Order: sequence, then C-alpha cells, then structure tokens
Amino acid sequence: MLFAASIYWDLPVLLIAVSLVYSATRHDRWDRIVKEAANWIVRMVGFLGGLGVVLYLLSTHPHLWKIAAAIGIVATIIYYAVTLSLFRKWKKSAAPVAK
Amino acid sequence: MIPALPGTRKLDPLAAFLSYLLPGLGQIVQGRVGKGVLYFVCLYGLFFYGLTMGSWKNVWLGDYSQQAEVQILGRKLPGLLKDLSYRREFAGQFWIGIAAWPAILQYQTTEPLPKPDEPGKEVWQPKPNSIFGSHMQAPPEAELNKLQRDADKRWDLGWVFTVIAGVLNILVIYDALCGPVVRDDEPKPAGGAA
Repeated sequence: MLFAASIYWDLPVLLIAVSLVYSATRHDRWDRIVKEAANWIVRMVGFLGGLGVVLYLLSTHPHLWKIAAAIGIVATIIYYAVTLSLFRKWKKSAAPVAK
Repeated sequence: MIPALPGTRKLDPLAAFLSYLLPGLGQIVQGRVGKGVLYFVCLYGLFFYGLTMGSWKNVWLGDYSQQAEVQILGRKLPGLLKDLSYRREFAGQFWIGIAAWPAILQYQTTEPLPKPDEPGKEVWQPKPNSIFGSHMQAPPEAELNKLQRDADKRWDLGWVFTVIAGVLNILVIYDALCGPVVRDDEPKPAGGAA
C-alpha cells in the first residue's frame, strides 16, 4: 500500500519547513508569511499528491492507463485553474498598505 | 557613508555572515526576532531531522585524492573541487553553517579514502577524530553499503533533507543581507507598475 511505507510520513516536515522559510524570505509581515506558506503547501500537496495518485493507479491497474491519463489531464487543468485564480485573489489582497 | 537612494536597499554583510553561522541569527541581531527564530527552528529542525533519518551518516566530505581524476571541459579538477565532485551533496549542506563544520574538520584531519582496487578496502576504517570521533566523518564503503542495503529508503531521503536545509539557508542569508524580496510596507514608486 502506498502510505504503508514510512518514507511518506517524513514529507510533511519538509513541506512545512520549506514553505515557511521561503515565504518568510519574501515578506516581513506575519499574516502574509502564513498566507503564502499555506498557499505553497496547498500547491505542493495538490501537485505531488495528484501525481502520486495517477502513478499509483497506473502501477496497480496498468490496463486502465487511458482512464488514468484522462483523469490526470483533467485534474491538472482543474488544479491550475483553481490555484491560479486563488493566486490572483491573494495578489489583490497583498497590495501595499496605503499610508 | 553614502545615503541609500529611495528604492535601493542598505546591505548588512555582518547580519548575512551571522545568518550563515546560525540560521536566523542575523535577523535576530537586526531586531526581527520572530523571523530569526522561525528560520532557526525550521532549518535546524530540517537539517537534524535529515541527519537522524540517515543514522547521522549522511553529512560528510571525504578526501578522494586516491580516486580516479575528474575532468570538466578537458581540465582536471584540483583538490577540493575534485572531492566535491565525488561528494556533491556537501556543496549544499555546507550552507547550513556551523552545524556542518565538523565535516570540514574531519575532511582536514582524516586520511584519504582507499583506492577502489586496493586490497582490504572493504574492512578499511578511518581513524576517529580526537574531538568529534566519527561524527560527520566519511564512512567506509562497507558501512555505506550496509546502510543502504539493510535500512529503508529513509537514509537517502535524509541527505535530501540536509541539502534542502543548507540551500534554503542561502535565501535566509540573502534576507539578512538586504531584507525580504517583497517590501510589504514600502510605498509604491511614483508612476510604478502594480
């Protein structure tokens, strides 16, 4: 089973540390650091998780490769449509504070 | 001192050096204590988590002078560059700062790794250092083979964690040198794009 291997349980440490450190080098304000870190976690988990599911399906049911490929393509399109619109919304809210 | 022009950034090389030594120390000295602590906890956490995953045997730089020459663009790589070409991971791990210095000390004091065709290389053991013992010392090939053969894949993932921690500290050093990439509270330049 995919999640029985312990190697996958180490990845959240990496995801959280990388997202927080990268976001903190982009901003000084805590609300923006946390928001950007959360966005990065969602993007990475979504992308890598989606890829993992497609590869898992292909390795366990190789005869379903056409269905797996179609799910992969549709999921990628939906993923980018959602994350890009989220990113745009975030960009608007992160505009410099007027003094 | 030349006053900083509007839109330019004042560089702080001392803070950058301190952040190299200990991730986040430069930011703490600059008064950005919360961010400094965040960097320290995240990067040391990641680095030592990776070290633990690798049984404390995945951060080292060996002396590969007895090994085959390495050529890039027809030129033989000298000393340290040759050793780094055999152990590329350390080029990333180095940037974590003091935490990787035992590996440098071990590199300076440990005898070269044996030649690939040398008799008895399977049982070769480097002499432990008087201060650090075998900590961050290049492990013998037999021990490396045992770690990779008998353990799960965590040994390999462990060195990836340590390399990522080191490389991320380069971003932290940059942040200490000239501040965050996006200046949140900086007024927009007149006529500038959004």
